[in-house]
Amino acid sequence: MTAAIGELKLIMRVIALSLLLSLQAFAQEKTVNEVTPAVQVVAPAPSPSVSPSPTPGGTPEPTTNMEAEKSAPVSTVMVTKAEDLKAFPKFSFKSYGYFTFSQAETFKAVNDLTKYNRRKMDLAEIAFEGNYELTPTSKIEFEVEIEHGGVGTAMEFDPFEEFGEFETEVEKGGEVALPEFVYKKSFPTTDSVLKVGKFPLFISIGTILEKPSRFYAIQASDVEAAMIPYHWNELGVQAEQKIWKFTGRLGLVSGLNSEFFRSYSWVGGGYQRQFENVNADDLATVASLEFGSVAKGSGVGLAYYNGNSQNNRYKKDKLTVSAEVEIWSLLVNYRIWKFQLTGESLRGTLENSDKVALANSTLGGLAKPKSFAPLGHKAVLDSVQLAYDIFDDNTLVPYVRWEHVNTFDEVQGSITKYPRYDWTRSSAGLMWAWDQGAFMKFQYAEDRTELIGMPETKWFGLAFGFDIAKFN
Amino acid sequence: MKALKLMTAALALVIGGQASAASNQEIITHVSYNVITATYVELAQATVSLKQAVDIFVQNPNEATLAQAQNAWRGARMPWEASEAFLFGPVDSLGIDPMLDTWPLNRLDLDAVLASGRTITPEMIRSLGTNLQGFHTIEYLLFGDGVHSNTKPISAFTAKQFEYLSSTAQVEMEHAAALAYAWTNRWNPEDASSPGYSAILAQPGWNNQFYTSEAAVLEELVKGMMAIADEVANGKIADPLGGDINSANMALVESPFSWNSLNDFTFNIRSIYSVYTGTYRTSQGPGVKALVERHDPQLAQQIEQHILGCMQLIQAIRPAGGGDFGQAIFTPDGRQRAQQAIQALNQLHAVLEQQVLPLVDK
Repeated sequence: MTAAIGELKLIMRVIALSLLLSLQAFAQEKTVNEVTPAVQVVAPAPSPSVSPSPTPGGTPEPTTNMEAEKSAPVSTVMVTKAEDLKAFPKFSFKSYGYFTFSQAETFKAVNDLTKYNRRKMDLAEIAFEGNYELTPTSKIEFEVEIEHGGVGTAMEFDPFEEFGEFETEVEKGGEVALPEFVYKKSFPTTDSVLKVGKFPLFISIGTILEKPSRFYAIQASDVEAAMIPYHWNELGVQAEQKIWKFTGRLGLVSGLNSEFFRSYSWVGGGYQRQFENVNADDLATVASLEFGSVAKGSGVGLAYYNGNSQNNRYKKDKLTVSAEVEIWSLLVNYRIWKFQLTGESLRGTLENSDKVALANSTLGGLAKPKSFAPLGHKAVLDSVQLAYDIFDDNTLVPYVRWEHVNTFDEVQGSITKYPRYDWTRSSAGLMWAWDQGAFMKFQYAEDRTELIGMPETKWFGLAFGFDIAKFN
Repeated sequence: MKALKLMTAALALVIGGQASAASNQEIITHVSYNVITATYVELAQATVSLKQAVDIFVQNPNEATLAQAQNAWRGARMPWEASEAFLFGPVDSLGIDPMLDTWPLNRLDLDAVLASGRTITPEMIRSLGTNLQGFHTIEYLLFGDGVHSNTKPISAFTAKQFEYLSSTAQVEMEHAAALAYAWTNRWNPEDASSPGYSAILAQPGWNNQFYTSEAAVLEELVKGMMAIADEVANGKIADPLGGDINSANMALVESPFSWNSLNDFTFNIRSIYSVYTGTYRTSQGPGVKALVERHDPQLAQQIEQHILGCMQLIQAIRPAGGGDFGQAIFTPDGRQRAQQAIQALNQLHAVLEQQVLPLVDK
């Protein structure tokens, strides 16, 4: 019965999305048909407002941004398209990256809370973004990330297991990843976009503010990874519709696998990147409404994620009940004078969390959850950051940030609340763009959990990086 | 200590007197059924005894019933530690190892659960992290913190601790029963047609999904022995020792509350002995030693003596003035004896790797 309802939901989602896309395509087709006669009578002279602007080298710059497309009259867009078609396809390339130095107070073992400092250096990430424009209204975007400066399977050290275990991190796709590969089709007349492929979800600050030039701290969020996937990109299809300053999105994407939900990352571990293929027996719906642009620092948004995570499991028989994941998020990234306010509030629910935890507890081999099988039913995350742009040009920006996450906010069945996973990080720091496209970031943070007897810890981080997309 | 010495000497005599020219299949069959499966069956029985003793103590807490429960814990510990040379198969695939024996116990979280005011039931224990259940949780609750002594006054037990003890012992018993069942009856509980894992291990061949040849089984056995030799030497003994006496760390000692660490380590090596010689309790038959004997009888005998020597060196770490490994790491003499045991265990590992493992393909 439950399975039938699940399948029905899935079918309804596909139908709903198909209808939406059909309507969009129909509207687009109708609009094009209506304007066709106008195109035929317009003189072929290019309009100065949309002509490629010459650069010092004489090479025309790409004119594919949506603003240009939207502001142009329909007839001239058609003319421009006809001329530009000769120049297509076009390819552009951007890159960003950073490395970090950090010092953190940590503990020797779970029963020996003697603190010591651990310093680390990490070539955290280098990303290459490609933009392959096929026509003025269609393009392929992709991003290749090299994480931690290498390729291969990573060895990790877990001080809280046995005597401190050296483990192999199963993270295929984590070291050299293709987090984004998406075909985008724009429909200028209806201000719509269709995306097919792997793309970032509009769900959290950490995923939306992906590039380091878009946030001032070393990471856009230090607590998201305790609850959801950080940099959450999924395979699927998404329609976007813009009306005035509002953008609505509706997508159908690959879902999570509850087999890898763990106490320390709640549903984040279910982000399917351990295996070569993504199980797609359960899909998820993502929807959002955005005012302005959160990514560009001038917007607010409301987002919703819903998807079952039961049928994407490899050992299906261990869990016979639905494990629907539902997340609501409210996102703000807004500038008022020199102040930049950034924050988010996430509320998540995992259905039958106690049964998921029990099913996971008996997994063996590399999927063994060890001490991290228990899961909360409801998780909450709140963060707020206030930054002050001293020179009003994003070169020197101090900030303060408060973040809190609790993945055991509510529990089900026999699961006990774990105050260890109710933790708060308070940070202060500075972003200094000391050269065009190059930056340094400093961050000092204090962490506190609600577990009685667990001491507070301090953390300091320094990042140096570049972002050649900053001025684009 | 004396009992262990006598036991190992007796074992040496029995096995030393047996000249074996057993085939690989005979080795595999005997070890599968009469060593490994027999160990798990004993473990299941011992955890039933533990549960019964804990319940008697909880219903009538006094020094005598506490001592019985503590002894039952030690009794269940023996077959478990004596199984660590074969931590493959269902104990891994069903995720049972961490549920039975995760170390270290997470005392902070345990205190939080005890203080939560919730009724503690076996169902609740099943949903806890593995470092809040199993042998060491029961050990901590029964024996106390183990710093200055390995016993706990009756007055120190709380009603919540009684609830926790009884429920954890129940879950421990269930996991041990599931493990024995997986070896004797059905290795995959979700597949009614699956046989016991003992049959899987004992019948290698092209139609066996895990072991396509006798060599594959022998390799599994030898690597299992190597793994526990390495873990005892370089994990269980070396890590708590630290770099010097000032960095010795009792929080890293296994079974520190009951002062059972050295017996744990000894029985770990006893599991190597069992697989190597094919001896478990009163059962005797060909083990991996028979394989070595076919190529080099002298080496076969030396390895057996080496294993026995390792067990004696581990027992010799015990401080003369009382205490166990957790106390020995803070004395220069104890540390020196521990280093001798580490050295012998690493040599054993090297011999198994360099001289025994290559024989499985010959």
